[in-house]
Amino acid sequence: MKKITCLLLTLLLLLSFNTAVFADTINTTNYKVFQGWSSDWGYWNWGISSSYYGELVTYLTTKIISEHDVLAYIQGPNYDVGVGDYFMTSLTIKADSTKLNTYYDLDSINSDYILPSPIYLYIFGGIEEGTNMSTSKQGNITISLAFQNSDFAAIGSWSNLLSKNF
Amino acid sequence: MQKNRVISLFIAFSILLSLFSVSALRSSNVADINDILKAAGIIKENRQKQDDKIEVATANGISLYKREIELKKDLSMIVFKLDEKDAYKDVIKGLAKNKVLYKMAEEEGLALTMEEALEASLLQKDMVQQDEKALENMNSYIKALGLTEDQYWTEYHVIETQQYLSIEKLKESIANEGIEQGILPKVKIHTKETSKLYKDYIDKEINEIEDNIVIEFIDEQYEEKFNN
Repeated sequence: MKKITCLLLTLLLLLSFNTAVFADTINTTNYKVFQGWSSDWGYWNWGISSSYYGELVTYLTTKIISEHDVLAYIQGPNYDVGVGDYFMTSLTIKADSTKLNTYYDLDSINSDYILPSPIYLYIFGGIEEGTNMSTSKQGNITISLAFQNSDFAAIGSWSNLLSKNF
Repeated sequence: MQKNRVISLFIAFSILLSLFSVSALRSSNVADINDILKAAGIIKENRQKQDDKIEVATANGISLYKREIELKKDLSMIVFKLDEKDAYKDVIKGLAKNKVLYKMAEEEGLALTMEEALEASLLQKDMVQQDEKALENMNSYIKALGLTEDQYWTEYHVIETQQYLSIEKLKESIANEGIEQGILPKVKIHTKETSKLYKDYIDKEINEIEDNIVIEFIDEQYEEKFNN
């Protein structure tokens, strides 16, 4: 009887471990000034803050990013910062060096602003499928972003990267 | 027979290519900072010359001056690597378009005041100061222009800002008219689709304005340069 109770308790303990969830927020932020020049309008600067927020859920043997989004905004409270498009070009998740088959919905990106109105760019990427990986592996998420404004020629690169290990 | 067809195809392709060549060159849209600093040196020299105001053409009755055409032509050749022929065409077309759009913005009461433009210019100054590399480039440009930082942000760039953002406000008003007429959907946060819809609509309206600009040449030499 004691043996059976012991076994049952061990089983329950293992079961609880398997379903145990540790959730944590992972995030990374950067600020980049994109610069451009036009023979008509001279030298312009667009300072853009970009952030990534993800919810990392860790099970006993696996981990997953359950929800995440990318947020970007041009600094400055008013419309007078000029205009441009800022958009996400790719989102990659790797387990060690293996690229995971990641699903995200590019169509849901709210990225392009064309008018001199307040510029807050929200990029939502909801992914779950294919992001499951062993806890023993080092995960990495990389988000590639790009800026464009057809009135200006780019000085330097108009691309930006956000990267986070987990 | 087949040879003739190949020649015809080649001619058609060449015509098509020449039609798009100027805009294609401009839309390559990458500039080298060293070329921009050279361009700034040219702007500095030009600023020190006497303001002669020789009118060589008009666009819908608005004056296009020799000096501004020559300056922008030189800048386009340095930064965008256009040849002289393309540069003249591109600059005269661009100047005519911007002057007409700016006048429309003024007439519709959309032009920014100098105070608003100063505020916008100083906002850019704040932005650039938070990025070391960007600040380094910016300060090299200001130096090449022969200006102090204060002169640049509170005088020189204010004029560029005032003109550019006034035209952007005109574009905004064009979109608003489209919304009022039910052509464009009212959107709070744009998706890729709505953004494209807005852009296509504004581009169409601006192209229509551009197509109706009448450029009249006073100086025959510039007419030749434009039509070549």
